[in-house]
Parts: sequence; C-alpha cells; structure tokens
Amino acid sequence: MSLLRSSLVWIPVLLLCASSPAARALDDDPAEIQKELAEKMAKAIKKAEEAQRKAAEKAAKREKEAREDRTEAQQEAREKAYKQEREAAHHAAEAAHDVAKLDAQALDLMEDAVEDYVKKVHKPAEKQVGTLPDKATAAQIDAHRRALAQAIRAMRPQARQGDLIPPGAQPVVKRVIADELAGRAGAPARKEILAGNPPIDPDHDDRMTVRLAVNADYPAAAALSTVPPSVILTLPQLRKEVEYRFVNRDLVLLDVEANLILDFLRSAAPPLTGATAGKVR
Amino acid sequence: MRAPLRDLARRTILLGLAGAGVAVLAPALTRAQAPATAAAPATSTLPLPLKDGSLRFMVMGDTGTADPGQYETAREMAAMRQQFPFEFVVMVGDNIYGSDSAADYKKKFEDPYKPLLDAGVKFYAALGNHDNPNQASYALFNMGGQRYYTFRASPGGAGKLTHGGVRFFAIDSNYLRKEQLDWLTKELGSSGSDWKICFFHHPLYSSGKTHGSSLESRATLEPIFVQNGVSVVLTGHDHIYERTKLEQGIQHFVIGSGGSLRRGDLARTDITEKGYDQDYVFMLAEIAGDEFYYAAVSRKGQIIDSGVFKRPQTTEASPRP
Repeated sequence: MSLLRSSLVWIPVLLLCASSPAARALDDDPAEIQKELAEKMAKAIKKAEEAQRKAAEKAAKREKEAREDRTEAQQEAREKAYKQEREAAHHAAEAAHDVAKLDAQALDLMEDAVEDYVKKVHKPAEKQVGTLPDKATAAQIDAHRRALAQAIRAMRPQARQGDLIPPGAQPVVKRVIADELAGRAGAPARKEILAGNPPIDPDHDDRMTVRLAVNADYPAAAALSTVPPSVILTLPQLRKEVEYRFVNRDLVLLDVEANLILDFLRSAAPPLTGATAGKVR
Repeated sequence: MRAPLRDLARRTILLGLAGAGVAVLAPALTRAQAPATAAAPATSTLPLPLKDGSLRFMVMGDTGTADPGQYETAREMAAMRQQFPFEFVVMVGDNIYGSDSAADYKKKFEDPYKPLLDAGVKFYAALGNHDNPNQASYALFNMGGQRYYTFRASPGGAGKLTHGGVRFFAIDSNYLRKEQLDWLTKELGSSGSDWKICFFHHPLYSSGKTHGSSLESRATLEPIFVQNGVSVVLTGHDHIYERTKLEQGIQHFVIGSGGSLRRGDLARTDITEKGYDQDYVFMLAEIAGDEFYYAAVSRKGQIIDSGVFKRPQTTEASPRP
C-alpha cells in the first residue's frame, strides 16, 4: 500500500520532467530534430519574407512622402499626422485587446526608430567622414571606423538606453527571442548564440567582459556572437547598417561600420548556459 | 621555429593521373638554400596531379592569431607553393583575432603570408565570428567591400574558359539575414558553373567538440545548396581538420586549424571520413575537369589526408558561369 502511495507521489513529478525541454531533449532523435528545425526555419523565412514585403511598402511610402514634402514644415506636419495615426491605432488595438496587433505595433516602433537612426544619424555621419573605399588599407579601415564612431557620438550625445528598442517593444522582443530559443527545436539556436558570445564563448580562451553602454565602442578585441538565423529572421528586419548581437543574454544593437553600441536590452534571451538552459547538443 | 622549406629536398611529387591509378614519381625539387642544420625531415608525397590547365588553390581557416604556430604553418604554405603553384587562397574566417589595428593586420596577416603576397597570390576571405565586418573593405582580402560575394576562377588562367569552370561563393555565416539568403539563392541559381564551391566560417557538419555542426545554419543553407548544385563546402570555426562523408551530395571540409589548434578536439562521429587534430593544417586543392583533388598538409609538411572525388552534381550550363 505504501509502495503504491509513494508511486502515486512520483507520477506528477515524472510527468513534469517529461514535458520539460531538457527532458524532451534527452530522447532526441537527430532526424526528428532536423525535420523540426527545417519546419522552424521555413516558418522563419516566411515571416522574414512578409516583413521584407512590408518594409518595401514602407520604403516606397517614405520615398513618395519625401518627394511630396518639399519644406521642413510640410515634413513636420506629416510626421505629426503619422504619430497621431499611430497613437489612434494603438488605442484601438488596446481597446480591442488585440495582442497580435499591439505586438506588431510595438515592433514597428522599433523598426521606425532604427530607420530614423540610419537616416538622421548614420548617413549624415558617413557623409561627414566620407565612405570607406572598397579596397582600403588596414590603416584606412581603422581611421574610418574611429572617425565614424566619433561623428555618430557627436550627433546623438543624449542617446540613452531604450531609444532604439523602445520600452513598448522590449517585452515583445524578449518574447520573440524566447520562442525561437525554446525547447528542442531551439537548442541549436541556443548553442549558436554561444559562439563568439564574449563572456560565455565555449572557447574559454576567447572569453572577455564587454561593458554595455550606449555610444560606447564595442571592444575591438571581443568576438561577435553568432546570431542564429531563426532569431534574425523573426526579429524586426533592420537596415544593414545596424545589427543584433548578443553579449551573454543581453541583446545589443550595433552600428556595424562604426563598431558602436547603439542600444541594448538586458536579459533579452532566456538562460543560455547552466541547468535552466535545456540540453544543447 | 622550424626553418622554412627545410624538408623540401627530400620530398617527392606525385605527378600524373593519380585518380586513374597512373602515377609518375618525379624527383623532388631541390633547394640550395636549405639550412644545413635542418633536422631529419618527414618524407611526404604530394598527391596532386598538377594537370595541365587545372585550377590550383589553397584553403586555410582560423589563422589570424600571430602565434608561432601560424607563422610556422605559413612558412610551410610557402614551401608547398614551390611544389604546387596555387594561384589563390581561400580563407574561411577568423582572419584577424582580437584587436584589429593596422599593426594587427600586419602581424596577423601581412607578415606571415608575405612570401605568398609577394609572389602575387590573391587571398579571398570570408568573415568569422572574430572578424570585424569592416574587413570586407580590406584590399588584400579581395572582398570588394561586401560581406558576401562571389568570384569565378579560371582554370589555366583568365580568359581560357568560355563557360563552365569554377565559381566560389563567400558567405557571412555570422549573420544570415534575409537579403543574404536571397542573394545566395539568386547567384547560385543563375550560375552555370560546373563547380559551385561555397566557403564560410561555421561548419554545417563538424565533429569538433567545442562547436560542432551549426544546425540552424545547416537548416537554412543546405536546402539552397542542394537545390542549386553546390558540390563543395569549405568551413572552419572548429580548430581541427575534418573531411566528412558526402552529405546530401555535398563534400564538406572543416579547415579550422591554420593558425589556431585545439588538440584532441575531434570526436569522430558517423559524419567523419577523415579527421586530424594533432597539428596545424591547411589544404591544397586542384580542380581538373570533373575531378577535385585535395591534400591536407600539416605544419610539419606531412600529408595527413588526400584523395580525389568527382563532381557529385551536374548542372546545366547557363549564360553566366
């Protein structure tokens, strides 16, 4: 009788373990994982295609507006109207408890912020320091990077955390990343993030500390984390001047050419190492 | 430090039709300047046929450390070029580790490979996770300011080929954004080259203990490769040498010990055809028609793997090779 009772006690525990990502990964069948992964990537590519289409529409609209708005006043009026329109749409989605729409709007804000950065800061800064020739010397590359970083800093001295990943977008970004890294199908992505991730790189020789601060140089000696394709394809599609990188679990927005930290989001990814990370093959 | 070319005098070169079983052993090249104090060299044969009009190149990965191992391996590369005059070098990433000032470029790339650079050998680089993306603009990496790019190699010299031939595709596997995938699909699809060779940093198949196979990248890139007739994939990242079994009709190589070595990191798996993790390695390759000859060479000049395989997939010739 006591044996039966103790067995009954263990049943919920066993059920819980069996459903956890770590436990599920224990009986992984490589062929099944490949299949699951292929499906996941197909879905991510489809999502990216949709984002690409939307971005192209937005760019065309912006171009059209730029042609129409000849004066600064016209431009300001357009931006004001756009802001009001966005706020109204946000209130409507809130009233309807439309979570998907609210998420999309939040990510749109982030895309717009990065777009604004490229248009109003990166491009003018690049114009100011000149473009790097395609066949540059090492000295030219170094000088260009420094000059560009300096010019960008000078153009956004008040920049602060949350400027490019606005507070409204932050929980959504975290959720998107968590979804891509979760469970058995997320194990390869969790593993890929570790490669080149300065503080937790599997190659212990490469490990180093990176201090995150807006407008700070990303240390030249630090490796850049690999960003798994599923994460790149499902997060907002950014202009090529700005990239996502991970430093441990923190997501960093980096100006690639200037090697400059533009913004960052703490604990954007779930634990990547340790017992809570789930099994990574 | 090992003296450069010291064991060249004892080497023999295998000339002729190695793949067809017809071999002619030619006397080794001799070098008057070989130091008298050289230790007993290892005798190696270089099993590459040096066929008329063939395409010859070298592959190296994870090189830019400025460690003695990189320099010693670089000297062996220059020595090997005396026997096997390769035209260019493919770099599979981690070209400049750590800081990347002008002085770093010099000591981690320009100095060790000076003999090759002076001889007019061109280097084509892909970016690794230790590389600053600005390397794409470095003239000596021939990337034309692009993080992913393609170039066509002409066996027997430029202008000798009207169609077919070999096309290389450098991919930035650190950051596979949608634009890059679109570009790759388009470029591979529109290429009618006989050989389509992709090179990048993260291996789709690797038995390295530290990193291993990049499964997400595999799930993303492999369908594009298979669909578009890629025959060979050259990668690094794990600091070992590995030649895999054919995977989806593609021959994969991990050549990540050109300047960094992780001894004992190879955990042979069912994907391994041949692997080596006891010394620094680079690879010499020769393409002659439908045959791809390869020889993986260690820092000490030993041939640790060699062979030949036929082009696994044939693609229809199209207007733009």
